[in-house]
Amino acid sequence: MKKRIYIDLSMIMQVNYMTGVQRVVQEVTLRLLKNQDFSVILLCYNSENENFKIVDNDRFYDFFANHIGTKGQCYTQKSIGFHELKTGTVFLDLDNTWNCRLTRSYLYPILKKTGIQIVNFVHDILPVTNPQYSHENTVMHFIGYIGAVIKYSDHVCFSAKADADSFGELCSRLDMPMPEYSVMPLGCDLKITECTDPETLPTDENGDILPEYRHLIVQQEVIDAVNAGQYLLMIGTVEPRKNNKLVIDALDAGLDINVIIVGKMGWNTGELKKRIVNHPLYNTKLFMLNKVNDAGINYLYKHAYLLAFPTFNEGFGLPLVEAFRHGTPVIASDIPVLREVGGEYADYFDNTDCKALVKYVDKCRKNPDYYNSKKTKLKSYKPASWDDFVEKMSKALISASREKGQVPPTEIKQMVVLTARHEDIMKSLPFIEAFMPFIKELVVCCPEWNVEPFKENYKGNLKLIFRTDDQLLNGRPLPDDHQARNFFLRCMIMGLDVLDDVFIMTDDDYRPMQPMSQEVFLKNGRYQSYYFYDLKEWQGTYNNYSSFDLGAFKTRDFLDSQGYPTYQYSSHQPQVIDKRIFREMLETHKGIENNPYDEWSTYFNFGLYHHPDLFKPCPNVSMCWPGKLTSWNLYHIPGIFLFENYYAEMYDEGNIFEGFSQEYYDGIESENQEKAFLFRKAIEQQFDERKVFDSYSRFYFDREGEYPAMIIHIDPKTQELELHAPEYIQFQHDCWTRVPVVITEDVYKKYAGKVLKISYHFRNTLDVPVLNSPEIEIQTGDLKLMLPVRSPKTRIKQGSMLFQAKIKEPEPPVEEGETPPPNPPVVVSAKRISLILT
Amino acid sequence: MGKNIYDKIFNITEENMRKSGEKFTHPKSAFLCYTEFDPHKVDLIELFKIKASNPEFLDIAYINLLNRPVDPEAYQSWKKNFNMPEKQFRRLVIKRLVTSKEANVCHKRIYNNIFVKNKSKSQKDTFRSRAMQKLMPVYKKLPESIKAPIRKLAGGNQ
Repeated sequence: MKKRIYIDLSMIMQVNYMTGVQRVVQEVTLRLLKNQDFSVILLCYNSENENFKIVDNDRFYDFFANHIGTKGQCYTQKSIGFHELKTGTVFLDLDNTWNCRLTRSYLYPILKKTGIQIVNFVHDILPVTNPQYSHENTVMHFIGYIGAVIKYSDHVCFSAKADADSFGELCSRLDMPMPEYSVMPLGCDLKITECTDPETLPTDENGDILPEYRHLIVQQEVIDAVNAGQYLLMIGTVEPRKNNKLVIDALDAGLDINVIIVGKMGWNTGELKKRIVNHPLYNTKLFMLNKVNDAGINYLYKHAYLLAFPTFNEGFGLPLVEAFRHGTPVIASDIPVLREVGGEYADYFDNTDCKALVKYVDKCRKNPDYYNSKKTKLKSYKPASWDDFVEKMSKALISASREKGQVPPTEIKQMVVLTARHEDIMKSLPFIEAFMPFIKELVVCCPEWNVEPFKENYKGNLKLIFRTDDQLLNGRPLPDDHQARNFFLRCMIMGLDVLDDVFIMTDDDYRPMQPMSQEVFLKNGRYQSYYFYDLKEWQGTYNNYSSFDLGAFKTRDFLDSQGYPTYQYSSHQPQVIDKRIFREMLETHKGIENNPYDEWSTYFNFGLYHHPDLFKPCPNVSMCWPGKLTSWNLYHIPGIFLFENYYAEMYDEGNIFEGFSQEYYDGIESENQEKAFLFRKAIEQQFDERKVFDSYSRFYFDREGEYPAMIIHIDPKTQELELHAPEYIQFQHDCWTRVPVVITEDVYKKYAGKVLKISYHFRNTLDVPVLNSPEIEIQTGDLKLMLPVRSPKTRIKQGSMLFQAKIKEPEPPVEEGETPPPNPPVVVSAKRISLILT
Repeated sequence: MGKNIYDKIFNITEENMRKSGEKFTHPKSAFLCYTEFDPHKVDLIELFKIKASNPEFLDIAYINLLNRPVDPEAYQSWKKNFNMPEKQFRRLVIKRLVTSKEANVCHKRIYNNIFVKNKSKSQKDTFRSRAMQKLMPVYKKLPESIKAPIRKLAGGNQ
């Protein structure tokens, strides 16, 4: 099967010049497109739609290899979201993407979350090692780029060992491990035949040269400069780092040869440009050519007497090897990277001494034998080809995507449960035995007093293994916090020798709903890990954070600080665990077990980051999580319900599962199907209701330039409590919608010791109240919340919503039966918003 | 390790810059801003809260709202406001940048904009709302037996 490779071409598709960076992007992409081992998808960032446009492979090839068509014609109508790139593929970043608005510190975490391997070609790290030679904005962008590469890349390619060394040194200064890497010298076999006589080229019926031949024409200004006499060639973007100034200094110091400077004008070159164009020898002995095509470059190399390369630093030094290939001798800066690339084929000089250059040229011209010996030596030079380069890169791409972790087993037979309520797991076991026939063994971790009743009452066929809490803890105290206790105990379980390498971890109230195979947990050699949310979007219960919420926030911060993905895996359904990877996590993050982290989010995100080939994040397949659909905005609708997160109260009179059996019996699958249907219907209704508000939000943004939210803040002028609200708001009739409410810190500061309460009131067009909410107390310190808003049942289409914020004194405790004393608000701020109901 | 990797890279880069005898013109916070910001959206309340001096804030606001640091010309023009009280300066910067043409073409999703007031249609003093405000006290004094049909007539359910 072909390996899928995504290549980000965002920058090369924007620019109309060709420096070393673009050369690498072009040559690699063209060759990978023809490589049978890979299925290549070309991407280009689209800031307006916040996604990637897909570039057509054939049209890209035609444009860049055959000069047919335009860049604009390369785009298809298709696009793909950052989260939609396929798991198990490779994202190849070759371009100068540090300049792209889609910063890598933003993009790479998303890719890692999806289980994508990242391969980078790092041209150099000069903006870090030699920042004085880069524009400050470039340095700004580059720091984020290179940091993200170090943090997230799976494989880094360099063109020279010197680059790998300085990258390694940077990693070590940062106390970060050096990612896997390869070194691959750039190719220099530019296959182009230049033409100095355009009349020989094929033309159309109008006598115009056919577009695919136009790039072969050497521009007249190039021919004129070459014909002006023997010349020293200097090639590359004109910028301070390239040290063009030294050649002009040499010319002023008596350099007796013409000089041709070729390259696009880079940053901070105003003075140099002025000096060149005002030079007395300008256009007689000193030439500057800024827009030369590939044919012209070839022509210039071919006819040059010498290539001068006085650069202060390079990632590789492409002009060096391109000159070698054309048999042109080179005088280059004596710096490690050029020594590595040029070896014995080039001569080297002190790049701060212009007289050394003058002397060297003199030596060559006065001593033809020496010069000719250099030319002869170059005949033995074996240029690296772009084919060689891409072959090495292909190996890197394959290496990055090969399996690095443990090989998962082919069979899972063990289930593990941590329980203090044996009655509950007893009720769930018949479902497990009936619908998960691959489970043969149950490890029960429970308090000692639970063991005997369990053994006595269990009538099933599973082999039972007990481990008591004392055995589990081995003298270590249990944390008090609920979430901390959960995580700690799970970490302790991983030390049990009785566990298989891979097992299913469950809870006492997770019930399978239909027959299933172990493929639910292990498919195509990958652990199917089920998430229900993204921790970065988890808001918790808006005015009463539970231990679960606080644990989720802490887990998010931990994962984020490590650069790990942030899926929320506490999906309230059984999950597959590889205890070797769990132990690896405990080993990597020593002492982690003492934190109140969400156990499965920590484990699976660690696993996905370190073993992307072994984990596949999948949307959860659990029903009744949450039990109450208004508990939070669901992240997605599960495609199928395979497990029920059992809540006894859902079977009570008037509730959704009233009348359904709570016990297992043969044939319960059909009841389960009915329950799944009812629950799905309820979820879909909630999603539909939300759609109205979501589409209103998008429309409001398009119209007003901001997303709607209720904001409670202190007016800077009046210093009074103020409400900022959207101009209008839209809901569906008779439904719960969560509306963003933001409270600024200065509200709490100004009204310290007081209580903030909010309420909303719907009125029809005649201002008659149709629905009033109770006052909702906001927990001090809550800055953002998603307020559940109930919209009116009444079939009105328009009206208004009065949103109120009140500051009140805290209410004293009231004895039962007593009427609370009146507590009028200290301050009230209200805003009336136009209302649309659909 | 984690997030401060960018901080450390900046320190190394700045040290190299200093060794070369030069220094950066933008503050460290501007450099690090690129490593933390969301290229597609900006929450103005969060932006307003960032700990930074006025000149630092200027850069941070530019990067967040316009995806670029402040240019030398604009910096010169803003410089005269650097002595303003912090909050006042921030409000001014945000307001100017949010309403600039450049921000318009940046396609950034803006959240929590309390800095530019919208003109709510609902807040307009319409004849109907004025009339309703005057009638409301009368309505409130009516007995429930009369209020109920009025509410029903007007489409209310409570």
